[in-house]
Amino acid sequence: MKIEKWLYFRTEADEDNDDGDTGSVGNNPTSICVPASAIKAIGPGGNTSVTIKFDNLITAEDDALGKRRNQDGNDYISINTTQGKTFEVMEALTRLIHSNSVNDGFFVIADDMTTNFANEVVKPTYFHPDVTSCGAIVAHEQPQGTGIHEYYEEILCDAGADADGEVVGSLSISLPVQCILLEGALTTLTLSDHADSSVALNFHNAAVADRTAAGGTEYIGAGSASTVSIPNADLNCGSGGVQFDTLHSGTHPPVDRAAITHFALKTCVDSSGATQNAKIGVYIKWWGGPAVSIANA
Amino acid sequence: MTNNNYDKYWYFRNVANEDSDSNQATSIMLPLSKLVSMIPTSTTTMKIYFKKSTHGTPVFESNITGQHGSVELTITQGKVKETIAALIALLNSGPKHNDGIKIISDNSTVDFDDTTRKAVHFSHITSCGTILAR
Repeated sequence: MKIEKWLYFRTEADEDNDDGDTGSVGNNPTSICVPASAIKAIGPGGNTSVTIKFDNLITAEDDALGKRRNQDGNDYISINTTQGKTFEVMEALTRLIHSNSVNDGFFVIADDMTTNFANEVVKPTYFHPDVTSCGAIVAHEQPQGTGIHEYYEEILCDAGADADGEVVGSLSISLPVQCILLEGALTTLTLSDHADSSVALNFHNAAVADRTAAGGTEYIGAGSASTVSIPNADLNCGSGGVQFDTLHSGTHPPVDRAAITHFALKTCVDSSGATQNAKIGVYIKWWGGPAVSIANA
Repeated sequence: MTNNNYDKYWYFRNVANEDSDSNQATSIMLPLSKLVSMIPTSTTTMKIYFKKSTHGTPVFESNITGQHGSVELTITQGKVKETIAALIALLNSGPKHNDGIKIISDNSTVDFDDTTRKAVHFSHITSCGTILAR
């Protein structure tokens, strides 16, 4: 097997804080190790930094051609350099990648750590004397760019909802402001083990916890505006329902969302008799900015 | 699958009882050519991302689509970087033509016949966590 060189970066000075989430913003790992073969391009990020662009490091590759702008879509790592030395750093990095060095393939490119877990002071490590620190590490959890987006997620509905209208599960993403919600659909992947279970999909400007009353507007279900869902009903997913039964937003007009948009499945019946509730596939399509992982919001 | 004859594979299992080892969410063998990245998710956990190498039935899928598959590993605090370095050295190590299989993290301590054994973990890994395979 061909030797694969892997490049290591850390932008955190204290190892106690090397927790994978710089500033708790979600898309900025504190450290990362990536194969050199994932590099797409290396270029200056200014006159004191070099930007290394990579194939997607968390999300699957998604061809955005004809769908959306993708200028911010690339995962990348910045390394800060001495002014006027960006070319020298790029040249050295390329030489390192192409070298025939017989080591184990692990290369520290930039490690800002100065305090280790034992609270000892250690020197930061850089592969080249003109690298001054590790800059931003960016690895997106959602496809980027402004334009057409689609998202699909499977939700195992909460079995404890005991009143019509309570949330039984939510999508793990929210949509940014200024999106146009285009369409959506629900499919029963597995049925509840109890007769009483049916669901509808709401959108709202805030997240709502399971087993509490859903907020916002019903988008797919019998209660959608003008009752336009196809079919015009809630999605039955009780034990007597039909597996893979599907509900679509139908002729619901596109929805202009000036606010952040969250999505919640709500039960349309007391479903608390179930030991295991239904599993629902949820699909949405929108025009606008990229989704944000809820945990990162 | 590319390079099938010569690819090395890493093995992961997150259940303690072999009786419960029933799908791709409980154990998986991954070809190293599919590795994408290694990213710490806390001071004691790290995810290894890999391109989808299997086509499981939907019940085994991650509930979130669009992301690479991943295996989460628990690692002794302060040893994440060392573990990453050890994994890289392992994937680049010889001999070229051994059996190609390396157990990276196996939580199993109870065999199918109910005999017990020690869990097996590479380097400073202490446990195998969630496996998301598509």
